[in-house]
Amino acid sequence: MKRWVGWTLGGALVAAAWAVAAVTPGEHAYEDPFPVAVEVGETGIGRNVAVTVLDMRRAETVRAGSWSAEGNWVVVDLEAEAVESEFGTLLTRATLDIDGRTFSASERPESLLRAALSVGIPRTGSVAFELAEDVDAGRGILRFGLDTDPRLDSVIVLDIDLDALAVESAVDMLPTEWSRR
Amino acid sequence: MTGGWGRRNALWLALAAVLAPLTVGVVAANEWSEWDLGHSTKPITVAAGESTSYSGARVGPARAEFTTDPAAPAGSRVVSVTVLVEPGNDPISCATPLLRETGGAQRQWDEASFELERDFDANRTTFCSAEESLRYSLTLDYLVPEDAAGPFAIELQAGDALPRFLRLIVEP
Repeated sequence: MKRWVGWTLGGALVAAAWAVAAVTPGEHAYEDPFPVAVEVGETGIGRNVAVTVLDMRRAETVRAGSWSAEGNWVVVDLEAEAVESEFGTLLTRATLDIDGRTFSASERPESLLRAALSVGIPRTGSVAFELAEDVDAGRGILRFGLDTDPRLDSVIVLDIDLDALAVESAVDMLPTEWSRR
Repeated sequence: MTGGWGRRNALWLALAAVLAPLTVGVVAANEWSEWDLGHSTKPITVAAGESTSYSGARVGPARAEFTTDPAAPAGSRVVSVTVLVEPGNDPISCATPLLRETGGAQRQWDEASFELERDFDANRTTFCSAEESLRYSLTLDYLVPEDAAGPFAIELQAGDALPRFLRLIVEP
C-alpha cells in the first residue's frame, strides 16, 4: 500500500468516527418528549392534548376571584382540550424555563392547572407563574402537557420573551370555564 | 461440504427450527396473558338493540339519544344512554362505562354528570352495583362535541370478567 493511501484512509476513518459521534443522539433521547412548537394564537395538537395560548401578561399583582397576591407574575391565558381520551386527562404540566431554572405554574390561585380536559370541547382559563424576584428579562420556554413526567408524550412548547411584555400593576386571571365559540 | 454437514445435522436443525419459534411463542403468550389479566383487551361487540350475557348477568339492550342540557357548552351536545342490566345468580359489579366513537380516531368520553353539574341523585345508577340483584338500568350522559355523530359504543367492563369487556353499539 502506498503511503498516501494509508494516511487518506486513516483520515477518512477519523472523520467518519467524528461524524458518528456528532450525530449520536443523547443518552436519554429514546425517552424524549415529542415537542409541538407553536406561537400565541396557534393551536398545538399533541397525542392527547391540544393547547392554544391566547395571551401572556406580566403583573405585580394577580387576582383570581377573591384571591390576590403580589409578586413577579407571568399570567398565561389559554384554551385546552383533550384529543382522544378523557381517562386521567388533566393539564398537569405547565412550566416556564428561563435563566436555566424551571418554574412550575403556581398552585396558589384557582387556575387551569390540573383542570380535567374534555375531548373536543375546549376549556378556557389561565395559569400563573410566580417567578423569582431577580428574573426580570430574557427569553424563556413555556411547556404544557398532561403529566409532570414529560417522557415520551407530547408537550406543547412556546417561546416567551419577558422583555416584550409590559409589567402591569394588576391583572385578573380568566375563570376556568367552557370556551365560548 | 455444506450439503454433507446439513444432512448430518438435519435432525438437530429441524429441532432448532421448531424450538426457537416455540420459545418465542411461549414467552410472548406468557407475558401477554399477564398483561391481559388486568386490562380490557378482548371486546365482545353487541349489536344495537341486542343483549348478551356477561359476568353472569344479562346486559343490554343499550339505547341512546342526543339531548339538550342547559349546562352543555356551545358546540357540544349530550348523548343520553340507558343500559339494561339483569343480574344473574351472582350480582355483577362494573365501573361506569365510557363512550367511544366507533369510527375515525375512536375518541373516548367519560360519563359527564360532573361536567353537567348534576346534583347527586340516588335513583340514578351509573355503575353496576354488587348490591343490586333485581333488573335495573344504567343512566349515563356523555358530553361530546358536535362533530361526534356516532355510531358509538358503550364500553362496559366488570373486573372479574377481564380481559373480556362489552362494546354495546348505540346509534343515537
